[in-house]
Amino acid sequence: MSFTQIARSCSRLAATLAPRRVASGILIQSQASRMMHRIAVPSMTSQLSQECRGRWQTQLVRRYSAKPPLSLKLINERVLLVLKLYDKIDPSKLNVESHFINDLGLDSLDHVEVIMAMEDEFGFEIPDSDAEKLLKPADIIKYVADKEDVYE
Amino acid sequence: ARSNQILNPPAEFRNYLVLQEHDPVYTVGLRTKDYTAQDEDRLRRLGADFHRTDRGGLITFHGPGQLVAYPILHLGQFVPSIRWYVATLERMVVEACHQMGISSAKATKDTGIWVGDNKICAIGIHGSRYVTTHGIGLNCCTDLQWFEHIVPCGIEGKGVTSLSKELDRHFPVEEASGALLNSFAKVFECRLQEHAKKPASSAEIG
Repeated sequence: MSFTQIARSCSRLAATLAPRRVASGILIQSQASRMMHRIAVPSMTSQLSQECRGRWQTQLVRRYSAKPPLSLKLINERVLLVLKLYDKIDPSKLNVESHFINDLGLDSLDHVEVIMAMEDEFGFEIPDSDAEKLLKPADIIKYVADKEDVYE
Repeated sequence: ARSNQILNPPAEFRNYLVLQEHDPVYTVGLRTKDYTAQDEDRLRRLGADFHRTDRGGLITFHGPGQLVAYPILHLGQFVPSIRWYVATLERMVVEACHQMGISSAKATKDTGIWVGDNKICAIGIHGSRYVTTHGIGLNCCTDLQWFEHIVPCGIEGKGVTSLSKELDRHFPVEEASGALLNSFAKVFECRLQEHAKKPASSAEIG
């Protein structure tokens, strides 16, 4: 399971736990206060319905969910893991300097697949003009690191 | 076409199939180096527009009599694989052609759907974050002379054909779209819901 998936599971778990907080009087008040600061709803009053509280609390929880922090090592591991899971890639031939087409025997359609898998893994779009230049795992690692301002 | 829909979770993405005919236009895919401003000018003087796009493939023509289909699908709801998508798209067109009486239509290693050595349907797709754009162009009653000014899709030594030419009768786009929609629903295993027709927008050129 990738960190992205772990992060998603955590936010899902947090969302399911949220309704329980409604049972605590202190937390209700505390939550309401925070909501008044963060959500500019002029007509909000302290008499919130259960349903509204649940929905807002869920929103509040989800807002805190962010991408996991990255390091070069982690990017490297995630890139190589995605590639190892691609059925046309022989893991024994794979290293950060393997050329997708010349060394791993992928064709242009496979390259598109790989780029889409990386977009999905890291959660951002890779424009075609950039994708054309990403021909080795090392290229992708550098690209992701640059995109996410990661240097170590 | 760019979707503004939220892409996650994929299960909530609303998939679309846009069907239309274009005014005459030549479009070029990602590999644009082979086409100079001189080529562009020559083609424009024929009365066609000229657009460079982000789809795969080289030059092709879209125009009256050609049924263009642009599936906008989140592959996460189908099979998250561009290869699967292209193969399924090909199967959709082949089955539609068989339905319409062209039993020899087939997919080959050259992109597109062929009848003998003539291409009857061009395929050029693009995918990003598992959402597909662009699509196919099926010649129904296209004036094939438009293709004589280019090497269609960059494939030398091959020709172009249409439903009308193969069936030796006028075969309108409306008739073909019925067959294509049936085939799409069957091959992609989905239900179709119709939306009102709107004028084509240049942003949707494929």
